[in-house]
Amino acid sequence: MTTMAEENVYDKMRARVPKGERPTFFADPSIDRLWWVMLAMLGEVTTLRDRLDAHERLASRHGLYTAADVDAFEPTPDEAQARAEQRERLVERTLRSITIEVEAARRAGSSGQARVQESDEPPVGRAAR
Amino acid sequence: MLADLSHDEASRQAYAATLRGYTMRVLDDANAVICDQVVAPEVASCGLAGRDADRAVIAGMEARDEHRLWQVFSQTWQDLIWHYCMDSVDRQLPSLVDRFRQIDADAKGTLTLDPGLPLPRYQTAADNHRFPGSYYTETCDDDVRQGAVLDRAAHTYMGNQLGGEIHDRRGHTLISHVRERFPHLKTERILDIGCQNGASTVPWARLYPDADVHAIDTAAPVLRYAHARSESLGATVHYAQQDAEHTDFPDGFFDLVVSHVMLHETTHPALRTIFHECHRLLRPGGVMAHLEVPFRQELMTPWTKVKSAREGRYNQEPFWIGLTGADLVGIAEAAGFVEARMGFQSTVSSGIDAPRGFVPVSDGKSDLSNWFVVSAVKA
Repeated sequence: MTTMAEENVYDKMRARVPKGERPTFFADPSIDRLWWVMLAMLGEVTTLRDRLDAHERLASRHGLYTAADVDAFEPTPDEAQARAEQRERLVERTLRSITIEVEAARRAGSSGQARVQESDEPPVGRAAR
Repeated sequence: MLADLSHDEASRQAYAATLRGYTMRVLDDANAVICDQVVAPEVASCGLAGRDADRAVIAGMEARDEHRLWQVFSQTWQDLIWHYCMDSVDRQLPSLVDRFRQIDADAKGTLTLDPGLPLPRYQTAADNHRFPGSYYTETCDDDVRQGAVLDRAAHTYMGNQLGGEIHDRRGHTLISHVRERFPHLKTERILDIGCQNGASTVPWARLYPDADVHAIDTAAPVLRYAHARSESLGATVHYAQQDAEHTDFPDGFFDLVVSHVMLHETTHPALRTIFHECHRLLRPGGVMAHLEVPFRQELMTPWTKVKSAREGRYNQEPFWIGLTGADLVGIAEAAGFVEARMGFQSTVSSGIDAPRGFVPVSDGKSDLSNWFVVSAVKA
């Protein structure tokens, strides 16, 4: 048992990094980190695209706009729907190589597994990574 | 009380939800086929069964690239949701704290904090759900940060599946269960244990306006937020910082003790202690009812077992597998309860006049159309 007083000395990292294991899944942990950065970057790109969308819509609606206009922009239900569809398409585009890879593996089923497995050993006892 | 979102914050949260959707749709689907049709049959053909087979399936999956991608994506969208929600809350934390102080000054409900309360080891060992800072970390005086992040995240994480921005559907679902199983139960005093930010407590207070509704949690930041949030939604609740294993309420004080997705963040011994404490707190004829995640080991395919192992280990919910496999009826009976039953309750948006929807475990569905429930009576 730990008391609140001992546990709650505030550290900025404490409020941002979960306490516990920091697992990685690929043989080289750099690959995990690259994926993390890649997916966060994808988040920034989708956010920029949304923001540009706001600018474009505001421009056509009013003929002029400011940064404050964009901060206050809220899509109508129809515009939000259009935006959601654009976002889906952007995610699909950016992740296409993975979609193709896993779809190929899914369709191949048991017959096509040699392509993605390192060996013919049964999974029992194989190193996890 | 809900933290607001700037344009870009809202877009980032929408992206996190989209990435979660992609992972669950495309990567999940492929991994399910690979696991159930390739890896699990290979393991079975080697003669393994039970927990040995479960472990071998996990090892077989972890050796595959598609599965590593699923793991990395699952981890990343979870981390991103927390980060994006923390960005919004941290930007406006001083005003949220001010709002808490203003609401607290003339609240109808009460808030009783105990800064010396020891935290259970199962909360301090690792942050459940990889939630940075967990429920209890305090970053400033009168801090509400962790409660505010959870409130924001519930919406991003689950969309409308928990009941829109108020996400009170779990509370309503448990209310419908209690009204279905115990239609004549007198409910003058209700206790919600492990209430977190009060999302599931509020519907009890709203639907039982004549009852005294109490709610406890071990963590101050979520209780402060719960207090302010409930008041701003017009619900009167008495919140207190207490440990559900050992509360300071008198024997037989409550007619009904409830919890919502709380037990899976405890441990085997704590679960038994909590059921004993529920028994002590109830008057004869009183009822305990606990709502939990809609998953049971006996309903799981090889792939959903791999997913539940991920929840346990990598999403830091170490009791997930234990709780979803536990004989909760037997544990309730061992604590002195009678008429103990477990099963699945159909999800509803209003607990009043809901259609009957309690079915045995074998008829449960492993999705959010229903929630697992265990309930029992103190003789």
